[in-house]
Amino acid sequence: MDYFLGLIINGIVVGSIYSMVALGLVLIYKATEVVNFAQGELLMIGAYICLEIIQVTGMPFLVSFLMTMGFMVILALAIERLVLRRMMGAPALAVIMVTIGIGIVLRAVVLGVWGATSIPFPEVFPRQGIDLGVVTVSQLYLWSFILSLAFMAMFGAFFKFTRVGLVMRATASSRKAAESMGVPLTKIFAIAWIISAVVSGVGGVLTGNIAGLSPELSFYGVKVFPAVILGGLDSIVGATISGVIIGVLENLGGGYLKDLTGLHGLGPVAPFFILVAILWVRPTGLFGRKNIEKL
Amino acid sequence: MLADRFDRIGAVALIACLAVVSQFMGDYHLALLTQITVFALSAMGLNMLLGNTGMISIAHAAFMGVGAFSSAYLIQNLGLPALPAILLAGLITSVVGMVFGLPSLRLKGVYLAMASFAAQIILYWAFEQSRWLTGGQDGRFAQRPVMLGISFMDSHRFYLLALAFAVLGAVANLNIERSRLGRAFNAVRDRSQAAEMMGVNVFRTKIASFGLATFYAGVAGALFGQYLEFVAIQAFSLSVSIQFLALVIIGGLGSLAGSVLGAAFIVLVPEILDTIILMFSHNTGEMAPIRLGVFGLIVVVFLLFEPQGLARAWNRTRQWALNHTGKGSQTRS
Repeated sequence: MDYFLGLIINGIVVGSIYSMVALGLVLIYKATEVVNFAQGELLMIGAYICLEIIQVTGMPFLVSFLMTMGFMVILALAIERLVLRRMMGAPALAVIMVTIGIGIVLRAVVLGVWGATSIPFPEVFPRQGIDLGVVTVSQLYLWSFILSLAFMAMFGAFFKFTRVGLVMRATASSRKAAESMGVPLTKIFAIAWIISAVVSGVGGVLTGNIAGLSPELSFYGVKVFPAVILGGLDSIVGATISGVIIGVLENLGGGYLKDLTGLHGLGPVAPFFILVAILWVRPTGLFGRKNIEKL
Repeated sequence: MLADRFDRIGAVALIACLAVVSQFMGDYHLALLTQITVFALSAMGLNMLLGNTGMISIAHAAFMGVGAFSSAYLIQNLGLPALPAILLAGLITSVVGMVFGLPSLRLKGVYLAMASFAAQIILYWAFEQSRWLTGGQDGRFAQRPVMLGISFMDSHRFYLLALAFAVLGAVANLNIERSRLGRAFNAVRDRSQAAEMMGVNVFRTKIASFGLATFYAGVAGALFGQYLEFVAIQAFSLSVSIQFLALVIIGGLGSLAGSVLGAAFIVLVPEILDTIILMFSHNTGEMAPIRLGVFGLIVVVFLLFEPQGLARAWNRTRQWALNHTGKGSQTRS
């Protein structure tokens, strides 16, 4: 039973990070109709930058964390301004490929600067367990969970209560209508990229804390794809919920399917089986709009 | 492409030239040439899917892996002769490709990209699990074939075999493009609803495109494994699939010349880079990241500034040359 609960909790924590990064992906898609295939690499570079700031400046984690966010903002602006803005209106294939290209460059930077070996993240949150009555949860996990929830709540409030948030929602629901009402599209696109890069950065720092730093981190970002497809590529609510679902399923899969099927490493691959199954059965996902992507 | 006599004579001359020159090449250059040839064959398939039918696949390397492993299995474990084994490996790959292509009826663009992305990850994982087929992380050996009584054990001979397959693939590619199916590919890419109204079976066309693309991948994969005499699953990873996508885009979408030029580009640029890096530094550890970074930049720059790829750049140069020799007025690009 403890094993089961442990898997569930692990899944919810990792899942909440997926949810947060998935939010970034869906946001960019809704605002700009671009699916960012460099999301995993953005996550990875966020983690490495944070580590570098901590090690070089010796500043406390919180300050380094904020500086990392600042870096992510600049990076997002650079990507949007230098590349994506010029690709507006290009065919989907070209846009997908260009984000893949950006991802490759980011990966090369990480490999060149920090190498391919795995680096442990300096302990920020103790791994010691806290007794929550029913189960004991590592403080690291608890903090990761709280932080991702806090970030999601922040963005939720931003969309709900600020003017920019309102304009972004308008753009997402109809780009043409928003443009004709005088919404400066390029600015909205830039903001979408900033938010997406920042949540990826946060996700990177948190997963880096949990799993250590290595170029493999980008694979965590990639697992956001099954989450957004399950939730519906254009649904923010869907992304939030499915991130957790994917996290839990992945952990349960890793924990039990090995004994059941005798196959190794099924956990990390399980979300992609789900992805294919969803695309077969219901490509709009659980919460997506019905009228998308036909023929 | 190959629309006029000029092109046709040029192509025949190029093939003859390659066949002769390759026999006098040193091992290093021959290795590069063989790799370009096999990659070009594989890229023709992907280009038909991507360029002609407008469907993306981020799993081309995984499909090559299916071909490489199944041909090795058919030859070594089941004792099939090489030629039928290679063709059968192509068919097996084709079936696997069509299975993963099935959702494509309802999907396009980013959804299809994600479906094939998942296919890449699932297939790679399946390679890791199937030790009986792939040897797992250790990989497995593959033999160079004896075909129609001729042994292709020798690298120089093997190149001729690869070239023959690539030429057959290219001829088939051109003929398919001119056939009803080829035109259906383009119709589906440009306006699938209109195509359907004109009596094109969109679903069947898409599946056929997947089947063809993966057949090319399977045959090329089989040849690739035999050429290396060793098949390792790492050769069919996600990053190789991305390389193939980049190859087709850099070369030129929907163009046979693009597949060939792209293959040459993707094989030669890292080699040239290595030479340049070695001139400035003897730290070979720096090579991989620099290679990777330059590769990523090239992809981005091509998409921004020359989205039609090398094929168009080549056509422009050719047109210019023809115009200046007074022959070009009636040629089309």
